[in-house]
Amino acid sequence: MDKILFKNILVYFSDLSSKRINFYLDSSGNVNFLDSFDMSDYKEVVDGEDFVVMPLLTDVHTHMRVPGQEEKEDITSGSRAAARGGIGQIFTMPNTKPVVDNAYLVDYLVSNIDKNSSMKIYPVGAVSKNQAGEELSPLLEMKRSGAIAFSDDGRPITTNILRKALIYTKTFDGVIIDHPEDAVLSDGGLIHEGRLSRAYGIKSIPYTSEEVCVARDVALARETRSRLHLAHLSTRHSLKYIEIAKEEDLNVTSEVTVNHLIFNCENISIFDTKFKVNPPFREEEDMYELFNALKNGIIDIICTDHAPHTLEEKELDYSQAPFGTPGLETVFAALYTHFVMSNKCGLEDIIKWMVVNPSKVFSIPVLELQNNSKANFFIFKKNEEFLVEPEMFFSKCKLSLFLDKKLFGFPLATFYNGKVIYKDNNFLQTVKEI
Amino acid sequence: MISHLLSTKNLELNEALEIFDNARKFLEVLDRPTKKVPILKGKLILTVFFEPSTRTRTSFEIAGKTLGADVVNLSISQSSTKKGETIKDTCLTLNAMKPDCIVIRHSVSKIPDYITNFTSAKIVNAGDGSNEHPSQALLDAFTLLQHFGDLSGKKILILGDVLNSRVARSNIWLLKKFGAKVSLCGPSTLVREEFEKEWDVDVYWDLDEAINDADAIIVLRIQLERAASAWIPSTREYSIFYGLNTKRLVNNNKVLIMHPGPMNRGLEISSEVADSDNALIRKQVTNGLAIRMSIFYHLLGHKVDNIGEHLDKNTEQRGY
Repeated sequence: MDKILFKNILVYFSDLSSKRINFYLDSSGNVNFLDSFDMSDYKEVVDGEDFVVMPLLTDVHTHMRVPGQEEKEDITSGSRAAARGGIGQIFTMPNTKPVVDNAYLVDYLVSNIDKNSSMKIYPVGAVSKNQAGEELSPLLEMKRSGAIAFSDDGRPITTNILRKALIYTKTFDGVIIDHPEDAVLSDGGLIHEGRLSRAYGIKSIPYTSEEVCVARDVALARETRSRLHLAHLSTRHSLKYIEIAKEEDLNVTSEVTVNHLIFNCENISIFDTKFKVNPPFREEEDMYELFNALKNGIIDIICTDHAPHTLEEKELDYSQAPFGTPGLETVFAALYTHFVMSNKCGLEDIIKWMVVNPSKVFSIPVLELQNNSKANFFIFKKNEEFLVEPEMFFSKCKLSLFLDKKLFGFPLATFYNGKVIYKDNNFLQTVKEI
Repeated sequence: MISHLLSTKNLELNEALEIFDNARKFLEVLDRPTKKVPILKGKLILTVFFEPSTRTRTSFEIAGKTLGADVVNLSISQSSTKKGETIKDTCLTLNAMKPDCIVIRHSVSKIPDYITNFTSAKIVNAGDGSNEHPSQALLDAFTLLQHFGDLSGKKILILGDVLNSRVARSNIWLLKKFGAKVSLCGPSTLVREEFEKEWDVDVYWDLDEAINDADAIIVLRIQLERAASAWIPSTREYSIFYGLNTKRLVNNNKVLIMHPGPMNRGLEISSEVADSDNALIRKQVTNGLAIRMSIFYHLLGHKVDNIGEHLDKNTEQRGY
């Protein structure tokens, strides 16, 4: 890499401060802050008021589909999709084929990631063997092999296993991630139970399907005092239990997907399988209350729940198409366009929800612009608008919820550990992606 | 003019009235010794049923054949889609057979709307999930109009499993367009409180109260598996509290009784009620035929502007 000068760039840091600085990247990808400079020393100059440098985001909830479902996604495509979205660290869920429920598979994933990923991917191990909810997986052995946390995501952890897992992981400070859903109440439901499910007679998932599970989870976290993280909350009714957990200083944290902050059951085409997600999109009020809960610190993290599927599967009828939609590439642009540009929150908030809090909850490093360190950041231009088209996706699944919409804030380049892992064709002509 | 019949929700009142006007003429055709009006000669109608049905499919088949169309019945097992074939592929295959009209029944709501994207044929929804069954609603409204002349202000009670009923939804949307006052009655698991506000209907959980001033009752079929999945405690309890019998109708013995069939006699309706003079259940079946003929005519044969004229011509040809 030739020396590149970044001149007068607004840089955001993980302490939630921001300032305009000058820095350059040397041929090793190291960052060097500058007080003064001579432009003729640099091969290329990024010069402009409108550029913003951000810390790399962390997505704590991704389905990389490895091992076994590489037709949907693999480590290479998934990590490139993450890089495209300004993400430097992701957690990949264990509901794969086979389920990642032992140390051998965690080892396999770690080695596959080392070979094929352009950024950091942390495997999440299954809490129970084959996610059957009957026997505990070898949690400590998986942790030693590199599992960042444990989850039976895709389905809720059975009550008995959750209690045992919380007690067991306490000794090594493990984190259990639960998918809060009462499967009996969901009863094969396809969409949120509400006006539309009643109007069209569609099998539906009531609020209480999530709420009763959240209440149960908080009770078990209180009993065990262990670390519990609740995945992809969707209803305002769950929040009161999290609030109680926070008031009681329990080790309970939670996340909401970016999609559940932007879409609700009234503003989507309910029979478009792109929008078939679990938990389902709830009502407008839930959408607002989930965002308020982030602002108030009740919910800690925004994630993508990136869940790619093949086009053929998504073209099945609405009852048979699988739940899930991708989101790695669009997460930041969607948040920037929908919330930062309308002053509902600042970039500092995004950093809190997608950089700082994931780092705190799961004890992982923050990746940001630091002097005399390898470059870890992404850069975007404030007023640059992009039309979201299938061609811009690196994920194997290109059925974005934002297709044909215009979004601002797409990263122009993403640096991880001193290397360019994504760049827009028209940006930084002198460097190449790895 | 409608290009498909997918829903009564989106059907204009004048379109429904036009279907009724022609249905009246087709009823007359059905009473002739030779019931054949070759208005749709050369047209191909496919009936594609993804779930079992005898009476609705037979009614559509007879309707199409009476109008001279070629009708081909296809039963497509849902397992073909479970094996990985998408509904889109199924429809593209069907469309390649060049049908003029596809009558479709599917267990998933809104599938008929979806397949309009992949075929050039006119689509008739013969029941989609728990969403709509528009031809049933049209025949029900037609039957009620035969008796009342005008439905404005008439109280039509729909009794039973409204939550899971495609018949109920189509009836509610259509009857309200005719000015009828629609009320619903059944156990609260199947007749949800929210229906009252969302659908602008009256909701009752007490059948005796609901019956009081009803002008007609549309009794819905209770699926026996509902009890097993805890929507109702037991079929016995259901029949005690929501079964329609003569004792319940003592104070309102003029009320008309309808049922889309097939009936669970002794469960949702007693034999005395089902076979009483007030019951229009057989009439519904005959009217269903005329309504479905009219629907086909409406969708496929409308280039003949004056159906009466065409029918007269045929009558002349046959020497009546």
